[in-house]
Amino acid sequence: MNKLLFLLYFTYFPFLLHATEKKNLISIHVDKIPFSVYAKQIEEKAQLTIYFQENWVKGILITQHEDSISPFEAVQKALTNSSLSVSVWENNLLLLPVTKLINLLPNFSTTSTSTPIENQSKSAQQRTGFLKGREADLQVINLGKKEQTVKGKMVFISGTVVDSQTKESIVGATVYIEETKSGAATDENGKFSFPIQAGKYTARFNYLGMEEKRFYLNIYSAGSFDVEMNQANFEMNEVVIYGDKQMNIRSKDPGLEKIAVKSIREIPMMMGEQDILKVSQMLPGIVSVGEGSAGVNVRGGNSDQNAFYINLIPVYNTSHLFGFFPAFNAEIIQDFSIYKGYIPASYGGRLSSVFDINTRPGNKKHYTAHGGISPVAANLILEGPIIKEKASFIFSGRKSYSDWLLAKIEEPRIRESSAKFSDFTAALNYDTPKTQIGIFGYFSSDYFQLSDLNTYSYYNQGFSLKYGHNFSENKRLNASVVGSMYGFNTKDTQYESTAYEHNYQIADYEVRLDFEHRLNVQHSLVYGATAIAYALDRGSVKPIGVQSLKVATDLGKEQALEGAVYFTDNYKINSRLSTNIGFRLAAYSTLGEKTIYTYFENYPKEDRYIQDSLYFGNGEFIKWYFAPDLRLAVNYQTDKNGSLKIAFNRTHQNIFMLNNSIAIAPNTQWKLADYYLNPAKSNQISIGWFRNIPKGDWETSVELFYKNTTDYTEFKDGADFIANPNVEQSVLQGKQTAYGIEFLIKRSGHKLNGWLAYTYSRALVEVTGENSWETINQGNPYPASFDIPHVVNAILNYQIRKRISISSTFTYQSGKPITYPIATYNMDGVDYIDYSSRNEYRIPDYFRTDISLKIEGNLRKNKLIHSSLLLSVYNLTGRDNPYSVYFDQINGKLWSYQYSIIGIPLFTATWLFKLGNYDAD
Amino acid sequence: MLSACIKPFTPNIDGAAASKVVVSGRITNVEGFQTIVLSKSIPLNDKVYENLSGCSVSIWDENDHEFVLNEFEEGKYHVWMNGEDLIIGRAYHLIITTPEGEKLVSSPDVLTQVGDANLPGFKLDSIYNGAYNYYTRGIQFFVDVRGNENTSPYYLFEIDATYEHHAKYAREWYYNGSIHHIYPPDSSLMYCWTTFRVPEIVTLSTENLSANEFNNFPLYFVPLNRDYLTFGYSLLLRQVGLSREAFLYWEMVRLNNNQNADLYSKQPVDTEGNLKNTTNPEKEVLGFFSASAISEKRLFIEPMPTNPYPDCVPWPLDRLGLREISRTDYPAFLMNNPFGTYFLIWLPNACVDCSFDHGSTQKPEFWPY
Repeated sequence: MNKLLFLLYFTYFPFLLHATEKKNLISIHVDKIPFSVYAKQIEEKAQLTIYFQENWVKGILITQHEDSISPFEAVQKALTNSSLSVSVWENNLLLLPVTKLINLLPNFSTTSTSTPIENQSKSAQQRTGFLKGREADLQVINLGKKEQTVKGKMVFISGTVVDSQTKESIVGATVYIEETKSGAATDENGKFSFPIQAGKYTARFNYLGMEEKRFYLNIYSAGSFDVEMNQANFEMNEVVIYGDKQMNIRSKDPGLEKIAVKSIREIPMMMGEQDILKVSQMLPGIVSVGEGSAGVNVRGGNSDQNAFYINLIPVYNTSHLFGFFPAFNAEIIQDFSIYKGYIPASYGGRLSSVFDINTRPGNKKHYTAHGGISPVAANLILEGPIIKEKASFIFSGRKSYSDWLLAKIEEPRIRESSAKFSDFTAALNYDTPKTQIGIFGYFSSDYFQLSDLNTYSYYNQGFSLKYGHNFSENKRLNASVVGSMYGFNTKDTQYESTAYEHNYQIADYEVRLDFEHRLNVQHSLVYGATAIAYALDRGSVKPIGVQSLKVATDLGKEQALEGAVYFTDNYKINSRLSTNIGFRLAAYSTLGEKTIYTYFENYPKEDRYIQDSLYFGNGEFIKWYFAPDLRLAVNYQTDKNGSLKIAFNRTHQNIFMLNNSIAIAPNTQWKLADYYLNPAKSNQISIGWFRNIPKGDWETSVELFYKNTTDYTEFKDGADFIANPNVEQSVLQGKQTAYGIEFLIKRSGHKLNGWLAYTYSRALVEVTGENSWETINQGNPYPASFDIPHVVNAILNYQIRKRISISSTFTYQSGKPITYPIATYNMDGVDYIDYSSRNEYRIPDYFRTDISLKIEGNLRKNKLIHSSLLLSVYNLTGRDNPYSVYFDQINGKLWSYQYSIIGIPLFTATWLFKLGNYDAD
Repeated sequence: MLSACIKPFTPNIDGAAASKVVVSGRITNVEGFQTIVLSKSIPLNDKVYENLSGCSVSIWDENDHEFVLNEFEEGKYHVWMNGEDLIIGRAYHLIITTPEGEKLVSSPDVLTQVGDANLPGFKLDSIYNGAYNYYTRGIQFFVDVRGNENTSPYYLFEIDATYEHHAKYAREWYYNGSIHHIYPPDSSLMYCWTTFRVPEIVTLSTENLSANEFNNFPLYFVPLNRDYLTFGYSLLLRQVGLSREAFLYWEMVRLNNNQNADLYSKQPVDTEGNLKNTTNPEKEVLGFFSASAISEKRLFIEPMPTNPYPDCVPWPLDRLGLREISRTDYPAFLMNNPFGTYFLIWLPNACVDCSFDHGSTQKPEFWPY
């Protein structure tokens, strides 16, 4: 396309003439074509050249049906609603941003078209403003049609925020209107929309790592515009629970945490692998299950009560290598939200939280590659445009080579072991102002062989297809199709006689429709429906070798259907008070083919008490569960720096982990609710108080929560999940109560920044029944194994020089509950141990501090590779944090030991590289 | 895991746990005395056990026949039962009344048949101790079980180990203020045998296997760094057939007693037995009263070279000579020399008396030579 030099613009401006002659009349009939295509047609028909810059017309779609019109008029009409003006220059047409013209030559705008340029008096006022020394270089954006202006009426302004370099939409950018002190944030497609009265405003766009963008808005009626933001020259070395300070106060979602991914790169990480989930564990209310285990506990909930989605794909195992590394490549994550207080009604199926990860689309402008090399793994990302500015691809791959590390371990079992992991993603994105299409595929796999004793391998895979369409400024549809599969294989060859192999697989397929509908300024609705089909194959246990006497057991297949409709009403009652009310009605049933055993009443559910069996044919509904959920959030803004938020959640969960060890083993099975196993139900109420202290840029918050879960699954002592297809024989369902208080103080936007979080919380379980076999701990409440009352987390970052930053984390946790031996007794000459009641004691407290230093390469604009070096020390103090405590009897005396996973400081150097200069992200 | 580490640790366990009654014993299918031992639990590592005396104890069968046990030693109660009273498939239960008048009742346990015990042998092996980072060489015993559908698929293995051990020196010279000479030298305390119950719980279930059989199940490991195997070793395996309830109980006890350092180790589990205090139901009773058939098998291991820690460390006397020996160590034996006299080297008791720490000079009947 034509390249217009600004030089030309300034040099020839005075000689611009208006086209008045109606020679070269043309006919044009086009529907919704991009302006650049339209311009080409005009150029061909009228034999002239139209000068403009590509980015000025991005997103402008032209519909025009005119006969016998001059090219000038045609283009002028076509651009009526844009901020561009048309001028004739040497028989060619020149497009220029209106604002520049006004600034420089106000009298220019004397055309007879309906281009919504300022009337003289208004632009005069504006010019006066400029002369007074206001920000004269601010671009003015005119929105809507002047003749449609209704004074005092609220209109919707919408648009898209994109990265000027990559043309990727920016999720979570904020727009703030200074005059009304209100704002909005962009959604996952980079779109924003807010209601406002017609008038003149100053708008500010902000996003972490981007330069602030400011505009004057002249709003006549509803309209839209796109904003391009430039990357800040230097990345701020800060970790932000995402959100502008205004958003912190105004966001209606208490307990919503957002993490900007760009900001986690400097945080010290084990083995240099960036882990967004580990960063989330620095936030109040989120605690790791333990070093060497996948999963987190959120607000006193079990680790299977959290949903993890990557681009809508549910991920059943979120970690590599026993939780030491995340199963996601942090470099491709664009946006990461955690819902732990108010869970919007569009989410269902888990009790405690939703971890929602969106990956970024590929670079829409040019091809680029970047990656990193750490002691355990290497990763590479390739991305680029398919159709410039519209469609792009991104591919990421990561693979480990960590066996050399294991070979250095003294313990012979580990030394002879092997561990491997890899993950790959591929995405295609197509973006136009009206329609967005995204296709995403994900695959991760793990392999671990412990000497010749056993082998674990597991994989996650999934795809999602997202289609988004804006019907108008206030109506939007998102339609998605998602598929996900998780499976593992375990081989146990410790004893010849019991050697076995077990395969397991769970798959789910989801179709969902979500509508967003703004009724008016105060009132918007989000509603939709979803249908999920689960297919679970608990697999079969097969003997290995002729010596094995293990009986081949088929643990059975399960199928289930879950359908839900939801409706959320977001209502702003007045400038201070707003509410979100959501309802979700889910219906769930397991499907045949299945034979279900019934048991004699008042007897334990065991094989020998089987009374009868019920047969359900293929596809037959076995048992329906209906789950009405209520979600509520109330946000009251006490003043401009403070707000009070209340949230209530009623949630359901139809899927559980079969796990009775402290950590989550890679062969932990997921199990669907069934004829006996009821879906768990939970009520959570939380109250949060948020306050910003503008002086020093501090943000503070206090949140209280209370959660009550019924039909919480616990397992009988010593339950074995691979021996018996009838899980009801090992499961007991009880009550779980969790409550706590979370404090957070955070500082951002300074050289020294970071946060400090403290959480006090408890999680208690009670399993009672009429019969002794239906109770645990004699029916008395006991602390859950993840009951950790005190957690203190701090992150501190300091930008030493422009290219050098230092970052450190501190974590303190109360010890996990444990059942200790409290007495001995002797039977037939052998000493035995008598244990305390369940989880009566605690292992020693956990404390760890990590530190890292990041050195950036030079910031020259043009170079082949930009690289940075990340030096980090994990567990700086080398503290032997006990992972578990166990006891051994030797010669009748009881010895106690503690088992630590990482008991030494672990130093890592990681090299990160990027093709191109720093900004080519 | 990358730098996993295990180290000794002292837990802070406050407060003494309330003492609980412990019931130990079973009835078997073998005609003879059936013994029940009653005791109390004690705080950790407090080695003095206290038996519970003065209880009235009786075994009942399902036909309401009562067999009253007599206290023959403190806390130990027995009754002779004839073969016709010990029937496979019959249920038995135990009722105890403590001196305080509390009644302890067991649930009935069905006397269950057991398959033959079989000890196919052993192999040299080494095990790694993560806590102290060393390998221990030794021999690993295995068991094969051969049951059928009429015998219990639940096994408990109890092991009695017997080994011969020697004092290094005969008694010849000793000092108790003055020197004495025993001639000919007294070698009566040089050869001993010790029998002990192996304090390990070994359970096995063939419930989920296609046959009530198992090959080469690891039973017991005997290290070479002790003198167990030096002069001969004998192992008596008692294979106990359990009911399912009894098996679950022993399995839980086993899990609790053999906890391992493992990423995925399970929590200690509730080892509630089958006895209840019906007077004060909140008071827990420890132990399990079972009715179990027993089969036994003995295996003898020929003497083999070992590398034991020395028990006997002769003590060279210093400038003070014999005056260095304390009166409490009298009589203090001295090492003889080839010249018909003694060296100024003190031989502590472990050097001249094999029964000093444990064992007896009485050779067991089953000892082959």
